[in-house]
Amino acid sequence: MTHVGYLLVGWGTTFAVGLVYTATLLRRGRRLTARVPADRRRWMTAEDT
Amino acid sequence: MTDTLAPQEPRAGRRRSRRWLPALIAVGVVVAVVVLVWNLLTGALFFYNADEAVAERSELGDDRFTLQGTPVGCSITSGSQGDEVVTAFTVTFGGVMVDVVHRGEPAELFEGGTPVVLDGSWVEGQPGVTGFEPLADDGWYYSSDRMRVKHDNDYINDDEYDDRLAESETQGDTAAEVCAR
Amino acid sequence: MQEINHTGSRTTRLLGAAVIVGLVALVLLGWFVAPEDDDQQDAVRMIFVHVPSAIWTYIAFVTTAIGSVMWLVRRSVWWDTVAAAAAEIGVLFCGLTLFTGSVWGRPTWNTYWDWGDVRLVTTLILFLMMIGYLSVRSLGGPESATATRAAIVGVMAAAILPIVNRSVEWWENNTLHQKSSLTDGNLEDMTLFTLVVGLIVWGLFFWWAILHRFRIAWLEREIRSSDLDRALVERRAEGEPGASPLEERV
Repeated sequence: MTHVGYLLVGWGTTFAVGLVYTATLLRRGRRLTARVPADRRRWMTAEDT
Repeated sequence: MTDTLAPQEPRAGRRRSRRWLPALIAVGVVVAVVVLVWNLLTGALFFYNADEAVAERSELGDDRFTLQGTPVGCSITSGSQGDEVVTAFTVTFGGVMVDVVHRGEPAELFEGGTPVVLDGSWVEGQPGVTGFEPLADDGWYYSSDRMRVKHDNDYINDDEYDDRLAESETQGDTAAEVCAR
Repeated sequence: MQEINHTGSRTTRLLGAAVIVGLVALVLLGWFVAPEDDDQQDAVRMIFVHVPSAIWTYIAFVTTAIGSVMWLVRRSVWWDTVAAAAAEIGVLFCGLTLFTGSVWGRPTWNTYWDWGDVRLVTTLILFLMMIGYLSVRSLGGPESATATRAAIVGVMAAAILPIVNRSVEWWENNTLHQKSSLTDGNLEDMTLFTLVVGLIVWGLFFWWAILHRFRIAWLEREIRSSDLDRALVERRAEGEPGASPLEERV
């Protein structure tokens, strides 16, 4: 396979950035959810509980 | 106790101190966008196709400009010009050919039939590169020191070099005919 | 009832699982099944992360523009929140588009970047404008005014989207970038299939991220609103009989 270095940098950075952003979203979500009463979180439904 | 009784004052102070960064970013963005737009409007990168470069040769003089053309496969020669090792070849566009002497490493995808974008200027005279037969041979050559490749959006793997030359709308059959001679 | 302390839901969990499965499939297809290109050889495999990032950048910023218009016309807080969420994800995708394009450019164009290239530079301008959008949102001040300022930037950024997209057609001699691979290009069947898989996976991730990001923005609004309520209650308490002289001074 040719250009493996370029491919690893391109794909690797894409996946790493996506992973970091995912973790950031989840962490922010958890931190903020703890500060808001359950009845004011509009996405919560009976199936999710 | 005073803090809890008067929550707004300290909070406003904290906000002010935190907000210099987005304000700085916003200002930086405006400046950067203005610079970039100015850069585009003043034509920082503009390719003269080989036919245009030949037509405007007298206006261009020895100014540096960017040339686009498709290398003729059979013309590509690695040789020396004086003491310097160079790559010499002929590019074509719109049925007009230009002889090129390129200093430095050719691009990785450099090959006949794939357009190149070169930075350099006109030089009057013969290329004088060992082993190179100039196809344009019009008493001028383009001396280049930077090469980029402008590949197309064709990712089909059956495009043989000769087929691509024959199908090319911009360069006519000039290159194929010359190489067949 | 189980206490929920996150922004997930059944929908986001399904989307998340689909993204993980899709990414595994994309790696297998993109690296081992799709054919190499005659000219570019294996460097062509960058297309499977670059093009989906670019396409979903456009979709994210169009979403921001729609949300911005809905805020400006109807004062819809829901749409304003959608606009902000899409902008953040769009900036992420746009940054990845620029980065992967640059890395792909080195072996194919023989350069990482060209400051005069109309496609590259207009994409960078779009990226910077949307960073400006996020900065405006972070500046603070009255929420309504902040949303209006951001919406104007969002609409302005969307206005240059057609220029970015069509630049390769309109200024052929000012860009190294090839024309659209999806609409004008010739792709091998398996290359096209893998590219479509990439587009779907990026789309699933976009929906997963926008749902979470929307909910985060919603929570932030709730917290700001309850902070304001608390401050009002405290203010009112200052004027009530029995308040300490210290409170009255403040």
